[in-house]
Amino acid sequence: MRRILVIDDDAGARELIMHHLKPTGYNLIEAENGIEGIRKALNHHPFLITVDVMMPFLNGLHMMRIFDLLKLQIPAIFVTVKEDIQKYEKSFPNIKNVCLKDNINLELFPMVDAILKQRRRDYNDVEYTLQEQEIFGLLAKSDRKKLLIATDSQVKSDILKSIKQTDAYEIYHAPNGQEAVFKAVMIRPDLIICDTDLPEIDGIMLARILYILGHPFPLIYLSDRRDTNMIKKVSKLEGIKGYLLKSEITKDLSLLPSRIDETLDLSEEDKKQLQASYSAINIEKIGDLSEESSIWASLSP
Amino acid sequence: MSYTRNVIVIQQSQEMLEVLHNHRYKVLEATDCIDGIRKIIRYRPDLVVAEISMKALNGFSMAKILFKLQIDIPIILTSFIEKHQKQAATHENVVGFMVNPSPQTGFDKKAFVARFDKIFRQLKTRKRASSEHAYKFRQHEWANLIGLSVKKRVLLVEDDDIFRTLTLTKMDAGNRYNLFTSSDGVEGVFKALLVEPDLILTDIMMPNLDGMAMSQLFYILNKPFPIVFLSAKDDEATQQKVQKAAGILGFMNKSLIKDTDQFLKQIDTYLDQAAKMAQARKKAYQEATADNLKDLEEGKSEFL
Repeated sequence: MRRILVIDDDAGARELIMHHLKPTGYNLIEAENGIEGIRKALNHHPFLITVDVMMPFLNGLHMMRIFDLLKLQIPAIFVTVKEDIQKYEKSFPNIKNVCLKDNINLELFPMVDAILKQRRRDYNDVEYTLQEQEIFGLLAKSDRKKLLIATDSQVKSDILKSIKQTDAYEIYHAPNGQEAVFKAVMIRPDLIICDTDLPEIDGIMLARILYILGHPFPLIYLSDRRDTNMIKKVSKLEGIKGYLLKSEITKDLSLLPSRIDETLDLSEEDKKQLQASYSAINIEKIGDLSEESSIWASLSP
Repeated sequence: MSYTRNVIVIQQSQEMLEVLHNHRYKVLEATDCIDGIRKIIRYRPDLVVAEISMKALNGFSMAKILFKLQIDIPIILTSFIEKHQKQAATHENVVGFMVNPSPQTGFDKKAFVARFDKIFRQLKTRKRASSEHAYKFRQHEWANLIGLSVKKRVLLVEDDDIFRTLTLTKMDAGNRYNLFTSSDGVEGVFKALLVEPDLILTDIMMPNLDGMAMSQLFYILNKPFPIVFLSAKDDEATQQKVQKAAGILGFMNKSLIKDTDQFLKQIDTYLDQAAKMAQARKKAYQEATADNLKDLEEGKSEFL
């Protein structure tokens, strides 16, 4: 069954859009915020999505950026109240057309119909690269816990040194945030140790994306400075189990391993709770992406 | 003495252990090929020294398996039979061959040590294969992987493009499963390791790595994925052999696909069965014995 996913925070708008899409004969699915939209897009493989640009916390452009980072090709039609619609069309490859809210009854169906008529779309395969040690990790049926270390810095070798001493973990490394997302999803680590300063997807955004995707991995931050403000932004996410200063862990090599053990010692009850909190969608928990001082902020309509 | 390297040995003589010890290798022993492969993966040694003549899975097969799994650890093979040397040389990851010391022919310690020293010197200059390996996912597979779905994961391994597409379309009709496909046995193995499917449907006859060999590999690796074979042949002998191995749920005739409802019903039945037997399968794989591989070896798998 072919599906179209309609994403809009306004129930009235969703109803109107669905009314005009009914003649397509496609199965219509709706989502009322960005997180639900992304999760449903992943689970239902819609042929097309319509996206409201202005949504609180996670807007349409943020969604497109996340699809981009995740290498997901899902054709989208943007629905907006703004007049200056041209700028969206070129901004992301997934955006196929832009429809003004006022013109939904006239323009939307022909736009959708044109995309549906193309039928066959050329999808690019997603290439995923495994390091040799990761092949070992996958092959091994070991009872060891899996750690994902996301850092591009010098600290990596210090971390590895202090952890390797114990040989109690299976260790994976991601040099940037995007790799970290992929590896987290593939490898399903028991714990992520993550630099706050990663390029493009920083540690804070990484935690948000994992929440958006619904993957509850406990996470410990590593930071250069005592920057509690940064971490406060995502403090509502239950997966985050605090942070350590890089200078501290290089000074005292036993600090990180003891902290890891502490965090890994989650009871089954705690794990269930974590799972439940990530399964339930609460968009407020990720904080407002438009307030970010990074590239995410520039994505405001 | 302090050890600088690790070696895993499978069925080796006291003389060999001594030589390794003198070269500052820390020795870890494995009892047979299954134990050996599992320990190699777990401990990632610098060197493997294995006997060729082992029951069920011999040293050559082990070298081949490690090669297919893209594990580039140098292997020294040993045997009482001198003419095995020629065959040993055909394996890229086999770096040397040694004749076992035998009481019948007498033991020339000097020659034995010299031979190992020579291999050891060559080993030092050996170039390792590339350590990065890229795998491709189709868009829908990728979405299935990164999303959180309650749907069961089914992996279809089939080298025939037309039949694979047809099967995929039929299975997708009810939107009941998260579907993954592979056109090749080795790729199928890695995809299975990455996606951990609830069921694998695989063709038996495939180039590179056939369905039987794939099931053996999962058994050796202690990956108890449930497997159902798809085949065009309605060969009773094959069916019987298939039924013997742990983890293999059954055998489906390819013609069954004509009736979509029946086909999907059958898959659902297998999925139920697979879930029910998960614990038993896990245990059987944990306690894997080479004897169970032998049954499969009689199936004349291309692989062994």
